[in-house]
Amino acid sequence: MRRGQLALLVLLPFSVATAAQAQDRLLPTVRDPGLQLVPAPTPEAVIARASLEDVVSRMMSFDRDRDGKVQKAELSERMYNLVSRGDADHDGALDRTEILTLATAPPAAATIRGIQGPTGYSFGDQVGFSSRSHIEGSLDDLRLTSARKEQALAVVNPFLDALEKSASADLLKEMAVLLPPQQLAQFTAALNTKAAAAIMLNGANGERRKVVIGGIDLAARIDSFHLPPAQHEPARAAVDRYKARLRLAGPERSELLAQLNGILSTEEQDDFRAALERRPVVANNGLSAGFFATSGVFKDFVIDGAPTPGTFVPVR
Amino acid sequence: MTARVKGCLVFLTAWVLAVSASEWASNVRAQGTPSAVPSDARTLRLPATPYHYADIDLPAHFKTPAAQKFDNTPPDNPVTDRGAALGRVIFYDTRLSANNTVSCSTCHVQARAFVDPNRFSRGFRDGRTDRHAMNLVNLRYHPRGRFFWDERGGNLEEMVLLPAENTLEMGQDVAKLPAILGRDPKYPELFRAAFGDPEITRERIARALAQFIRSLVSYQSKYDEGRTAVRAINDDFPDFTLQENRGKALFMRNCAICHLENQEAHFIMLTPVNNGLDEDTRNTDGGVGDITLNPADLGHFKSPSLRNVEVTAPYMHDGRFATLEAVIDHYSSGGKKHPNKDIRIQPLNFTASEKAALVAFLKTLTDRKFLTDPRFADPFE
Repeated sequence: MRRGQLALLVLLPFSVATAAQAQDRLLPTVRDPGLQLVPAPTPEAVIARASLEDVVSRMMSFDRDRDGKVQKAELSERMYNLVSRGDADHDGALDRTEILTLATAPPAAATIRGIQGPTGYSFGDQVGFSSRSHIEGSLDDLRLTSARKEQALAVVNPFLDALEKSASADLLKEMAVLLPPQQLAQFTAALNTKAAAAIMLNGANGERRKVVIGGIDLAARIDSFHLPPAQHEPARAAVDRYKARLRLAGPERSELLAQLNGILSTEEQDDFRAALERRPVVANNGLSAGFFATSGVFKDFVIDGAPTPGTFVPVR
Repeated sequence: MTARVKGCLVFLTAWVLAVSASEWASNVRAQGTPSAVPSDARTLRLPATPYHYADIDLPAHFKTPAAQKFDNTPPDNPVTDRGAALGRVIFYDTRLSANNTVSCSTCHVQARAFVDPNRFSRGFRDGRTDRHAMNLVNLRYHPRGRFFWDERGGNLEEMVLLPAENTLEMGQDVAKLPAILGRDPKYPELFRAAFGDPEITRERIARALAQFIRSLVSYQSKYDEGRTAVRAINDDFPDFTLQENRGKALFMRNCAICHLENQEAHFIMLTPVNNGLDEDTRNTDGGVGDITLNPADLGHFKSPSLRNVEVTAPYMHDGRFATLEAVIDHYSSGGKKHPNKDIRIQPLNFTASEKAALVAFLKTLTDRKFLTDPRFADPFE
């Protein structure tokens, strides 16, 4: 497998049509035959960007003599270049129109030499990453002794298994009244698919690892059905409730912590609860250390002879 | 009183004054205040064989393909032993300021990882800056190649002389710098060693300074030793305490998405962000937005490397946080509701033990060898 193909695989959960066309060639291990890759959803936590008016208001705050213009001398020295750039009428100052012109000029290209920078960030559970890996990772972060960790996992794993089963059953029950049969079948297959892709990487030290990249985002799958609003909105809401249950956002968190009472100390329970309350954010290209943190990082994998930074998720 | 006794008294008085002056000069340098002893009144001490700055032996996590991509060294100005040695002399030379009182090192103190321990720096005429001096640690590994809190500096070669000509900081007419330095007979020889001939130009001054700054690489912290000893970063480091390993795990889960993207060496951020320091878009420092006037950049600031963060207080662009605990409290709260606040800044609600573990981990990034390395110290005595 070539490096470019690996990059595509990493991007898959967030890719659009081109990846879908290449799906059969690139994803021999996908278990969902009806899988259609869909665009990443709009992030739930949409960032309200500052406005042009915010910029103009900020700049005019420097107009100390209230003459409607920002003189060079009224600015911090580091901003002098703005006057050189924007003073269209050559009066040595910037008026509101000149500020607006500057603010609407195309921004200089932001480049990071030689590095694929992130293409944005989303909540991990929103784009198909497993909440379970976050929960298990948070337990791991407590750095318990092996014996105590085993004890804790003996509680956590059955709890999560039961929760996933129950939450999936409840979700499908809701979907059964919202989706036509063919789409329900596709949705069920997606729900039962634990990951979008799995590949083998050969570690530089001779180790071989199976790599699971991302997962299928159920909300995006719902969006891909192009349902009428009367079905689409409750379907999305059902998926959101399902995801919230899996990330222990509701009473399940207290239930799990209660079961761990006696295994974890009070301080460890507090730390575990705090960790469970956090909602991991991941880079949309899946290459950030934040993603690595929940999955593990191995460097310098060799793919077809080419050293490649690699990441893996232990296959469950 | 005999002539002999008088002579002894004169000697003792001179000795006491000399020692006091030396200690005072040392103290003011350590505290980041302007030196009253101009460089040209002191003696330049350089080793007969230049220190080794080029091709340092970095640990493996600096040599991965991903980590190496962060290196912003331009092909036409690689770090050389003699070029960086010259840059070091210029860095500590007060003649870079208009009244010969302030050098780069006045606000960038080695023992403090090249930050100013003061919240705001004092300029050559006693004026105060309105931002905290950034650290100069591992600037070589900022791949975007833009500098200052607002990224107005396009690259290191372009950036290094901006403070010299700033009317508050050093106030120097940099066009005159070649002539000013050229009056010192030591400089032509240093330029000859660095560049092949004794010509002193503004461009060469900038290139030498950039070489020295690129040589300021911190790579011998407890973290680096631990990382070298294990296969993967998520493994417990054998030289770490339980609390430090726990802090590392918390850092990787909650902080690395910003501070350790794509590699395990540099602890920098790829791009400036708005980290929710202020809610007000009008009356607070606009950072990158004040330079670009792009609304999306308002309140965005570049982040320095977290290496040696233990000694780089106060923190943030305006030095508003005096301690690491205060910084962690900020991120724990999720910051304020600025419209441009980055999605990654979410309430983390760290517990007290988590905060303590994070601080313990951050302190493993302290590199004592770097902070006391004679290659980076003041060469004037």
